[in-house]
Amino acid sequence: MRQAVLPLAFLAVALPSLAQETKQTLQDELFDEKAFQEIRLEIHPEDFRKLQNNFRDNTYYPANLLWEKQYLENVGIRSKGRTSRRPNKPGLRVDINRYEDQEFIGFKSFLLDNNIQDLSLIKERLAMALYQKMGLPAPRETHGRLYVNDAYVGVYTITESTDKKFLKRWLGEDEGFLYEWEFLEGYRMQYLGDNPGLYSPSPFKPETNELNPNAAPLEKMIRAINQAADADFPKAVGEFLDLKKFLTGLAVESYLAEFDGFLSDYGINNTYFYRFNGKNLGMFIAKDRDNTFTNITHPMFANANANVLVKRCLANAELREFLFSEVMRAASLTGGADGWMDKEIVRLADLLRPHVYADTNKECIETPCTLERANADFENQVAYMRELVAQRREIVLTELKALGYTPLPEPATPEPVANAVGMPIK
Amino acid sequence: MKTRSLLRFVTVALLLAAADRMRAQDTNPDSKEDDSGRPGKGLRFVWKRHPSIRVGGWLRVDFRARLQMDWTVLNPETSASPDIFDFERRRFAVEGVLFKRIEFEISRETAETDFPWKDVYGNIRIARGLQVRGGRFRIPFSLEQTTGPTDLDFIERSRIAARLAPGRDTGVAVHGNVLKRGLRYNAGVFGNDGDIAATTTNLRTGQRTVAGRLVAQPFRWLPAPKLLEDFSIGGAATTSDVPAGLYGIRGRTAASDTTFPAYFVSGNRRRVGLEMNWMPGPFSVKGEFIDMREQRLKQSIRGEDLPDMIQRGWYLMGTWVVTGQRKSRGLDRGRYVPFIKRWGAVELAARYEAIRLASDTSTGLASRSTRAFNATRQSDRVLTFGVNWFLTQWVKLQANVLRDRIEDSFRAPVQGVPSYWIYKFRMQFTL
Repeated sequence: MRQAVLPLAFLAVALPSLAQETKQTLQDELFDEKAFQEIRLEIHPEDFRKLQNNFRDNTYYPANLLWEKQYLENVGIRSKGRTSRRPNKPGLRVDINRYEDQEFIGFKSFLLDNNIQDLSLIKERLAMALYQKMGLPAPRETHGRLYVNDAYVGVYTITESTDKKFLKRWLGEDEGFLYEWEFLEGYRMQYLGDNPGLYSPSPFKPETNELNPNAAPLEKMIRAINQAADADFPKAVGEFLDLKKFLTGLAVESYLAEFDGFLSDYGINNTYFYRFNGKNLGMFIAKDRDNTFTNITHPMFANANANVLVKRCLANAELREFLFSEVMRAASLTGGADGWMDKEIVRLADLLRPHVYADTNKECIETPCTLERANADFENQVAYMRELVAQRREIVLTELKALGYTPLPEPATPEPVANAVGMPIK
Repeated sequence: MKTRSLLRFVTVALLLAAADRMRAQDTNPDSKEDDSGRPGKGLRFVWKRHPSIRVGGWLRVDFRARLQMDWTVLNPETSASPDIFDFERRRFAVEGVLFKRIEFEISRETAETDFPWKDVYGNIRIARGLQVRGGRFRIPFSLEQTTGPTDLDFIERSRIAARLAPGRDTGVAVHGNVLKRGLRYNAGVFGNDGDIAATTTNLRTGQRTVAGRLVAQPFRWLPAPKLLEDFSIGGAATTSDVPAGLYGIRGRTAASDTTFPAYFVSGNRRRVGLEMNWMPGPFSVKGEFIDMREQRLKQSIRGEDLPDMIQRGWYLMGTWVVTGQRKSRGLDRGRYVPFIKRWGAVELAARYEAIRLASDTSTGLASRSTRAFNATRQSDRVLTFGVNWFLTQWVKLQANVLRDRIEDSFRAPVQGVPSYWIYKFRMQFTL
C-alpha cells in the first residue's frame, strides 16, 4: 500500500504541471511570430446566416473549433466590435466555456478580429507588440485564415482575451476588479458626482466580480483626478492609478498615432481598467489598437486639454517629463527606417500577403470595392506605415521640444522588458 | 416609491372595506334573486357575488374583476428579482349566458402586455354531454393550468403547469360531462400550442395543435365510500409541429429566472399528462405528471438529427382547511366558522415538485450548447409551504415560502448558488 502511495503522489503533483506545460507549449505554437495559423469553425448554416444577418447583436451560437490537432465541440461564438462589425466578415468572440467547462490550450476565450478598419491588417499586432516591449500588459496576437464550414472568410487577427488568465499571466493575480471601458461619447474623466453608480457599470463595465463591481474606488479616483490640488496630484491620484504605467501606455498610443484611444476625438475609448485585489490601486490596459498609424503628423496630445487626466498630468512637471521620456523610449524601441518596427511591418506583410490577396471580404478606402483595389490599398497602407515609422520620431521630437522637452542622450541598446510572445522578462 | 406603495395600500384597504360592505348586503334576507337569475323579469341590475345585468330569463351579463397584489422577497436576490411589490393581476371580464345555452366570456389583463387578452370565447351547450367552445381559451391540458389564477392553492403554479402546459390559444373544442358526470372529456384543435410556449418576443412556436383531456371520477359509478366520490384521475395529450429554430421551451424558476435557456428544435412537440385530485372533507390531495418531448431534426452543428429533448416533471400537494370547511364546496364563500365567527376559512398547504430537462441520451460529452447532442441535465426541485386565508368571498390572503434547488448551478439565477428562498405574500380581491 505504502509502495503505491509514493508514485500516486508523484503523479498527482506531476500531471497538472505537465498539463500546464503542454498548454504553454501549445500557446507558444499558436502565438509563434513566424507562423500563420488556420482556424476552422463548424456552425449550423442557419446559425451563421443569422449571425451575419444580425451582426449587431451579441447572440451566441454553438460551433465546433479546429486548430491544428485541437478540436473542441460546442464553443460559443458571437459577433463582436463596435464600429467594426460587418456581416460578410464578422469579428468574432470565441467563448470556449460558454456551454461547458472546457478550455482551448488554456484559454477560456479568444477573439477573432476582422481587421476591417485596418487596411494593412497588421496595425493592432504591431501596436500590442510595442506595448509589451514597453513592459505593459497587452494581449498576444497572431494572424490566421478563418474558415467557416470550409468556406474561406478571410484573414483575421487571433487575439487572447483580456480576462483572468491574462491578468494572472501578466500581473500574477486575477482576483481584483477588471472593467472594460464602455464608450461614452464625450466623456473624458470628468467628475460626475459622488454616486459610484455614475461610473460603473458605465463607462467602467465590470468584467469580473459582476455582482459586486465595487465602484466606490472608481468614484474616489475620478474625484482625485478632478479635485486634487496641483501639488498633491501625483500622490492623490497615485493611490488609485499607477500613473507611470498610464503615462507609458499614453506614450505608446500617442507615438503610434492612435486615433481611437485615450485621446480620441469622441471621448476615451478602447481600454480596460484593472484594480488590484485588496487595493485601491489600478491600471489601464490597452485594447483594440487597429486605429494606430493613422497619420504621420498626428498630434501627440490631441484633445489632451479636454481630457482631465491627461491635462493634469501634462501640467505636472515631473509627470510631463516622465511622459516625454517614455515617448522617446517608445521611439527608440520602434526604431526608424530599417528599425525593429519597420522590419516587423515588412515581415508581417510578406507573411500575410498571399492570404490577404485571397481575402475577398476585406474593405477598400473607396467604393465600389474590388479585390484589386483592396489589394492595392493593403500595399499602400503597408508603405504608409513604413513611412510613418521612418518619419514619426523626428516629428514627435519636434513637437515635444516645442513643449519644453530636452532629450537625453539615448542608450546604445534599449533594454528589453518583454520577450517576443509578451512574457515579461524576470 | 413609498408614496406609490402607500397609495396602493390605501386602495386595497378601500376595496376591502367595500367588500365587507357588499358582504353585508349579500346576507340581506330580503334578497330574492340567486345566482341563476331566477325569478326576476325584465331588465334589472343584480349584485350578488359580482355585479350583473339580467334581462328576463334569457340574458345574463356578469362583470368580473380579479386583482392580485404580490409582495416578493428573494434570498439571494437574482437578476430577475421583481420589485418587492407587484400588481400581478388586474383582470377585468364580462361573462354571460344567452338563451341559457350560449355562454360567453371576454377577459383582459391590464397588468400584462405580452398576451393581454385572456379568455375570449363562446360556448354552445347542446346538451350537458355535448358542448362546443370556440375562440381563445385554455388548451385542455393539465389540472393546474386549467384552474383559474384566483382558485390556486399556491401563489405560483407548479413548474410543470407553468412551463410545460400550453396555456391559452385560439381554437375550437368539443367537451362535456357524461356517464352521470363521472367522465369529462375535452378535445380541440388550436392554431398554435399556447402562450406559454411562445418565445420572449411573443412568437408562438408550435403550429396547429391537437389536444385532448379525459378526467374520470370512477367512484361515481363504482360502489365506494362517499369520501371517495370526489376522487378523480385523468390524462391529457397535445401534439403539434414546431419549425426549426431556437424554440425549445426554456426552464424557469418560480421567480422567473431562466435555468435552462431555449434550445434549437425542429419537428414534433408532444405532451402527455397524468393527473389526480381528491378532496375528502377539509383535505385535498393533488398530483400531476407531465412529459414533454421535442424533436430536434437536423439541428446538430453539422445539420444531423439530435436526440429528442425531454422535459419531465411532477408535483404532489396537499391542503388542510384547519377551520373545518369542506374543500370541495369551495372556500371562497367566507362562511361563518363555529367559535371564530367571521374569520373565514384558513387553509394550510404543502407541495413538493420536480422538473427535469435533458436530451434523450447520455452518451457523449454533456454540453449546455443549444445544439448539444447530450444536453447537460438540469433539474429544479421546489418545496413550498403556504397559508391561505379566505377572509370573505371576495378577499383571499396567501403567504408562501419556497425553497428552490437547482441541479446545474452554472445556470442558476446566481451562478454557483444552487439553492435559494422565495417569500411571497398575496392579497387577492375577486369580484
